[in-house]
Amino acid sequence: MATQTICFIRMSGIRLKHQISVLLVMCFAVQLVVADEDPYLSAISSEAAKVETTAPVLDGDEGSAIESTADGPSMHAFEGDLKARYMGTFTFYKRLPRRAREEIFEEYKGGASIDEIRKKIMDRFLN
Amino acid sequence: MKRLYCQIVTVFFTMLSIQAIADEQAVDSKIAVGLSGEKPYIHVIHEGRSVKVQRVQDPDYELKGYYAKTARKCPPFCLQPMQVVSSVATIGEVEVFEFMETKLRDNKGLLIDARTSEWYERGTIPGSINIPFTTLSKDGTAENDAALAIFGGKPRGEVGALSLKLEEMGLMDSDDKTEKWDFSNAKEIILWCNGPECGQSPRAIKGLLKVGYPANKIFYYRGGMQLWQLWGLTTVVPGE
Repeated sequence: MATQTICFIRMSGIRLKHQISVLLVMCFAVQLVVADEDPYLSAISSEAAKVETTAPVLDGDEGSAIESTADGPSMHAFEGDLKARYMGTFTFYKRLPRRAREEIFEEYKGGASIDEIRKKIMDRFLN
Repeated sequence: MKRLYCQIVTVFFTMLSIQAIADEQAVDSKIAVGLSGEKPYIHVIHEGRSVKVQRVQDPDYELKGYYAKTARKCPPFCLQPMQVVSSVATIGEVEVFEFMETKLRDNKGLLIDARTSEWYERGTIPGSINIPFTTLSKDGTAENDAALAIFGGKPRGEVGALSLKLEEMGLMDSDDKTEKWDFSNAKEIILWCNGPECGQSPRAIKGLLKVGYPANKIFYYRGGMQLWQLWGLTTVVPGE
């Protein structure tokens, strides 16, 4: 009877060990799957932070373009400000090709004064 | 008197129509860089609004910013093969335009931005809906089931063993059906992500194939956002 009990305990111990091993292997496998996807997800997440918002062009005359950046004033804000303060200059500015407008915006971002910007717009428009 | 009034009204509306056609033609003649062939632009419904999809008309326009980059760390941002799997067709921009004008307009197809939401929020291709690859590559989850239902898949519920056996033997129609889903009326879908270096839409496609979505109803637009922007095509920011 005592031998049988010892044998049963031993058997139970072996089965328990086996179950723990299976569980560990499963945990390890799950860990591997998660670890496999997570670095990719974190990589695409950090990469997404580098993307500028692509401004919509809804029924406008021109197609898409990257309009604003995450830091500093956006081109949209700059244009809004110019329109509000110097409507005349803005009218000429809107007639410039996109490339010239982007260049002017870059100068504005670079710290050029609004007077310099206005002068540049007129120069670009006349020449 | 009444007839004269009718004639005047008719003449007025005719003139208005002629004017509208003339205006349209004048706008079309201004388009120097058309979409394809004789198509100057197309209109696509995005979030309930009509969006004109066309190319940048400025011949000096150059792509700047993130999508102008030629290199990203590989891995994980490695160049993808032309085909995800041989059974799924890879398409280009012209096919996307055609799809927008036909399947998408007639609600028989969907344009899927398979990128994670943080990418989608920064700009997308007009007419696209965002269903991230993370959703499409996880079989059996509620989100995955919901996405498949959006695509036109129907859950089959309990299917008897006999029916399954007969389908397996080819004695019952089993086309586009799995044990769990009936994809007979599933829509044609185009999946895209950031471009040739992006693995998000290929993962989504593999996920869809795994649940039995018919390969002939899946299309891979490999060019993605990068090539869409390279050609100066219209993009939209969701919610704006």
